[in-house]
Amino acid sequence: MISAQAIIELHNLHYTWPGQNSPCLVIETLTIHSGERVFLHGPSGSGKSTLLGMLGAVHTPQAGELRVLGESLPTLPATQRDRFRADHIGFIFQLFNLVPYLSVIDNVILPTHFSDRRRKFATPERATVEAEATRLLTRLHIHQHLWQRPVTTLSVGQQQRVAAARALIGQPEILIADEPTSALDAALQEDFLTLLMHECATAGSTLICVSHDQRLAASFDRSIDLATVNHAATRASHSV
Amino acid sequence: MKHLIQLASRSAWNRRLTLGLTLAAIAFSTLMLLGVERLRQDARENFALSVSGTDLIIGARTSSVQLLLHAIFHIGATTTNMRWSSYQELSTHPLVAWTIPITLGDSFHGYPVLGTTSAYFEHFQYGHKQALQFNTGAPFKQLFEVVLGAQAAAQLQLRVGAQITLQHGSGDLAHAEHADKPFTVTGILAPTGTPVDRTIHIPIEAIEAIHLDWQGGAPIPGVSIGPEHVRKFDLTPKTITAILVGLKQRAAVFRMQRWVNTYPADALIGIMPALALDELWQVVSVVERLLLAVSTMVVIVGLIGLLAVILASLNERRRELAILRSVGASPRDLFILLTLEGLGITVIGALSGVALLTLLTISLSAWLQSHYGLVISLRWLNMNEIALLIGIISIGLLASIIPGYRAYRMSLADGLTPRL
Repeated sequence: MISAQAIIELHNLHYTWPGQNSPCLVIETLTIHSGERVFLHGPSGSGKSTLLGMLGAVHTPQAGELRVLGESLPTLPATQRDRFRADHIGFIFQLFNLVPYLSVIDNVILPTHFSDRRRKFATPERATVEAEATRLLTRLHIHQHLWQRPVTTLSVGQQQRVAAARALIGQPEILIADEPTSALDAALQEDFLTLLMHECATAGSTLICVSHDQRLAASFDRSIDLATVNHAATRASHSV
Repeated sequence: MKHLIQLASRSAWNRRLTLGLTLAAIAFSTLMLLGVERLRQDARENFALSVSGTDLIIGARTSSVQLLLHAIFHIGATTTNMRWSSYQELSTHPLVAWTIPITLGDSFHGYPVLGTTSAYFEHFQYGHKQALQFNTGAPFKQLFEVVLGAQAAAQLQLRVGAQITLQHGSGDLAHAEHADKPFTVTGILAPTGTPVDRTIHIPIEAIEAIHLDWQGGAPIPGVSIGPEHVRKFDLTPKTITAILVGLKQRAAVFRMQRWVNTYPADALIGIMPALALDELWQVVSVVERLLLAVSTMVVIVGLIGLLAVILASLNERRRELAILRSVGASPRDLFILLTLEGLGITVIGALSGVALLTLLTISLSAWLQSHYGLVISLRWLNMNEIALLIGIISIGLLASIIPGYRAYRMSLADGLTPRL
C-alpha cells in the first residue's frame, strides 16, 4: 500500500509558540507517503493542532526541515505559503466548517476562488465548478434539495459531508481532517470515515486524520502516536 | 478581487440589520453636512441677489447691517426714522439719479407692508440688474391701492380687484386692524426669488392716511376719520424709514456717502449694499462655521459607529475568517475583505445621503420659499459638496482600515484554529 514517493518529510523540527519558553513540538523524523491514509492520534495538548498548522503552511517552524510535496515550506514567502495551502491542501475541522452566509454549493466551490490550480482540476472539459460541486455532493449523499439551502439549516452530519466535498474539490494532494467525526454520533462516524476514505482514494489524495479517539485507528493504513513522536513533552519534564 | 467583493457583500447582507442601521446613520449625517453646506451657499446667493443697482441705502443712523436687514429684507426694525425734509434735499442732490423712499412697520397676515412711491416700480432692481415686472395689473395710482408680491398674492389667494385691510404693527403683535380703510389690489408682481415676493406695497401717503386717527400704536378713542375725509389732510409723511439711492455715476458713491454721513440737519447713515452684505456674512459666518463643525462631528460620530459595529462583529467572525484562511485566503485577502465592508457601507451611506438631500430639496423647496423666502434649487453637487463627500469617504476608508488590519493580525495569530 505504501508507495515510494514521500509527500511529507519532517526532520528535527522545532516549533515554539510566540511568547513561550519551551517548544511545544519537537519531532526528529516523520515521513508520510503519497496516497497513504494516516491516523494521527494523541491527547489534547500533544501538539496536534500545531502540527496541522505547520503542514498547512500556516505556522513556520523555528528550526528543522519541513518538506511538503517536495517544497521546503519554511523557506517560502508568506504569500506563496498561502498559495501553496490553497492549491494543495483541503481541510476538514471538527465543527463549524462552513461559512454561514453562503449556500451549500457556494461553500463547496469556495477553494476554487482562491486557487487557480484547484479551479482547473475542478473543471475538466469546460464543465463549471458548480457541476463538480454537485457531483461531489451527490457522492457524499447530500441530496439535491439541500444544495441551495443556507448551511445553517443542515444537520451536523450533513455539514461535515459538505465540508468534505469542499476539501476534495479540485483534487488537492493532501487532505487534512482535524477531529472530523467527534461531533458525530457513533453510528455516523463509521459512515463518514468510509465515505471520506473512498473519495480520497478516488481523488488520489493523501489523507491525514487527527483524533484523540483511538477506536478509529483500525480503518487507516498507518497509525502514528503523536505523544511518542513529539519529544517536546519529555524534554520539558527532563529539564524540570 | 471580484470574489472578495462578492464575499464581503454577502457577509454584510448576513448582518444587514446592524450594518443597515449604521448605514442609515452615515446617510443622515451626510445629509446633515451637505444640507447645511447647501443652505449656506443658497442663502448667500439669495441674499446677494436681493438688491442690485442700488448704490446707497440711506436711513437714520444705526448699524449698517441693521439698516440693510430692515430696508431690503424687512427683518428687525429701526428705532428711529429719517426726516422727510432730508429725503427731499437728497433727491435734488446733483449726484443723485433716482431715489426710492420706503416706510415699513405695518403687516398683512405676516407679510410686511412697504410704503413707497411709483419710483419703486421704476428703479428697484434685483438679481443681475433685473427690473420688477408685473404679472397682472399695474402700479398703484390712488391712495388706497396696493401692489402684492408674487408669493404674498399666491399664498393669500388674492387677485387684482380684491379688497384687503392692513394690520398695525408686525408679527404676532399685529392685532389692531386698519379696518375702516380697505385697500384695492391693482397689481401683482412677477416672482423674483427675493423679499419683494413677500412684500405688500402701498403708496407712502397711505401709511400716513391709515394712521391719521391713531396715536401711540392704537386708535384714538372717539376719533374716526373715514377714508372719504383723509384727502383733506396733508398726507405728506413727516418721517420715513429709508431711501434707496441710484447715482448718476457709480464712482461718486464714496463722495455721496461722505455727504450723507456728515449731513448736518439729520443723523443719517449711507451704506453700500455689497459692503453691508459682506459685513453681515462676517457675523453669520461664525454661526455657519459652527454649524459645519457640528455637522462634521455628526459625520465622524456616524463613522465611529461604523467602526464599532465592524470591530464588534470581528470577534463573532473569528471562526469564519479561520475557515476562509483554511480554504486558501491569505491574511491580505482578509484585510481587503474587512476594509471593503467598511468602505462599501460608507460609500453607499454617503450616496444615500445625497439621494435624501435631493428628495428633501424637491419636497421642501416650496415650503422654505414660502416661510423663509429661501430659494433652494435642485442642482448637481458642486465642487464644495463633492469635496465634502470625498472627505467623508476618505475618513470612512481610514476607519475601515482598522478592522481590516485587526483581521490581518488575528488571522496571523490564529492560523486555522481560532482561539475563542
